[in-house]
Amino acid sequence: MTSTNSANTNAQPTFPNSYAEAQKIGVFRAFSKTPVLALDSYINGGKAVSTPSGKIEIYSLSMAQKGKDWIFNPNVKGDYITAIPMYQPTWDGYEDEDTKDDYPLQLAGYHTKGRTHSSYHNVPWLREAAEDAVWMNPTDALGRGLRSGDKVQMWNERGTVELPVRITPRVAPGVVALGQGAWYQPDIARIGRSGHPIDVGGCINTLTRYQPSPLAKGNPQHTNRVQIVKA
Amino acid sequence: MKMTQQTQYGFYFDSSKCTGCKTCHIACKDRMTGLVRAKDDVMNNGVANLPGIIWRRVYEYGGGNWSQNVDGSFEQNVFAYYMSIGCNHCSEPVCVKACPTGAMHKRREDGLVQVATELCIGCESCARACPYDAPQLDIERKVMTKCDGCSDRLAEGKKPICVDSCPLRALDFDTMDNLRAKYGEGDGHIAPLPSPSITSPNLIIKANRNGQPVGGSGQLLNPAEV
Ligand code: SF4
Ligand code: SF4
Ligand code: SF4
Repeated sequence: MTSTNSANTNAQPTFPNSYAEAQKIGVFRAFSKTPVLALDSYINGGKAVSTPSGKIEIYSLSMAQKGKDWIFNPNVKGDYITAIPMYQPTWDGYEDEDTKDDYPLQLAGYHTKGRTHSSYHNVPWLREAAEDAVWMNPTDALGRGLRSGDKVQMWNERGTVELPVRITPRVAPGVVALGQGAWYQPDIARIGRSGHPIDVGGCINTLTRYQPSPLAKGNPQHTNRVQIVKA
Repeated sequence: MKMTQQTQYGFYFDSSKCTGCKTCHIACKDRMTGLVRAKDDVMNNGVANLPGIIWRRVYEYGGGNWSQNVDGSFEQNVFAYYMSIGCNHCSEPVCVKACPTGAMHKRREDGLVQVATELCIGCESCARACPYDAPQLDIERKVMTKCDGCSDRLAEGKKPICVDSCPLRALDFDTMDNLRAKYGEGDGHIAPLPSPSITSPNLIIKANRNGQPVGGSGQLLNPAEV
């Protein structure tokens, strides 16, 4: 039980003993007694921060070192590390000349309220409550003759998905957005414009690129250019 | 002796708090499935989907425009907000008036509007009449269903499950007298709700700061979800 868990012994306010007690308390709030100051030991305590110089660095020595020592792919636009924070034009980015004609829209993924990553995608009530549609600005929809609820195909060189479109001013012109986590469901009988089976599950990973980011070596999940037409 | 209605229940909804998370929608559906499909063999058949039957609907309403400056940058005045609506157990329930069999009725004791399933012929007259889309047809059973005000929970001294489930505490339910004492008359109804003059709904609204007048310039942004 939460209240008897040793990790919670010193919790303030004390944890309730039962669910009924918790319900009576209602919202459980914990306030910290002192204001929290970021880098307090550096600012007020005279201690060094964990950079090579011990100071807050605008020119980062460690980034400079990484940028010099690590191996990058010169064929991957934006695959480098700089010592000073700066804007790096990248493959499939807003300024990428190679993809901007074929794939004029930038696609971003987001966490939909309809599931937790891919968990619970199979719950029909949730699929009904939160529509899996790609969001598109009215100006982009106009040129494509699209209306909310139309089924569209969205593709780039990595794959093709088929799903409904939602026309909404809540996304910027030139940008489309799709909740991540839907389950991949290839229709092997139909090959999309990308040359792959059409993913009728609407999984964003069908369109993302397996290209680690320069520093974190993370997934560049939101770096995608796509084209969309009515299915 | 002529019976007069002693009590009228109703809802309070705070659109400045609602995040559109739809916990209310799902909690309501969970209880509803137990009510209308209780005899289903859940262990073998799973929980019924009841597609299209949504007693509490969360409307996403928004509008505004984008314009481009000469330097290519954009300006926008986009807004959006949510409205969580079940049935308003109206004082002038047009659904009751439209029902040819008397199945749709308003209870004398508490003003809740419910369907007497055994009288319902599934003609959908109530659904066509209601400007809130509250009556929802159960296609399999061919009967109308709707928000019953969680009357079983009220009898146990509890609030409706939609109210209790809301993580933002955006909903409340009580007698209209108690709600008025607590919240006053509210800010009046906002889009996408229809004019309250049609059915005299028992619903007090606290408006979102972007709340648009009834019939406003925005639009329903999630038609597929309601
Ligand atoms: S909201 Fe609709 S269904 Fe409910 S009482 Fe009013 S008119 Fe009838
Ligand atoms: S009162 Fe009960 S039936 Fe009505 S919307 Fe809320 S949870 Fe659903
Ligand atoms: S549970 Fe509350 S916050 Fe979430 S959609 Fe319903 S009313 Fe809004």
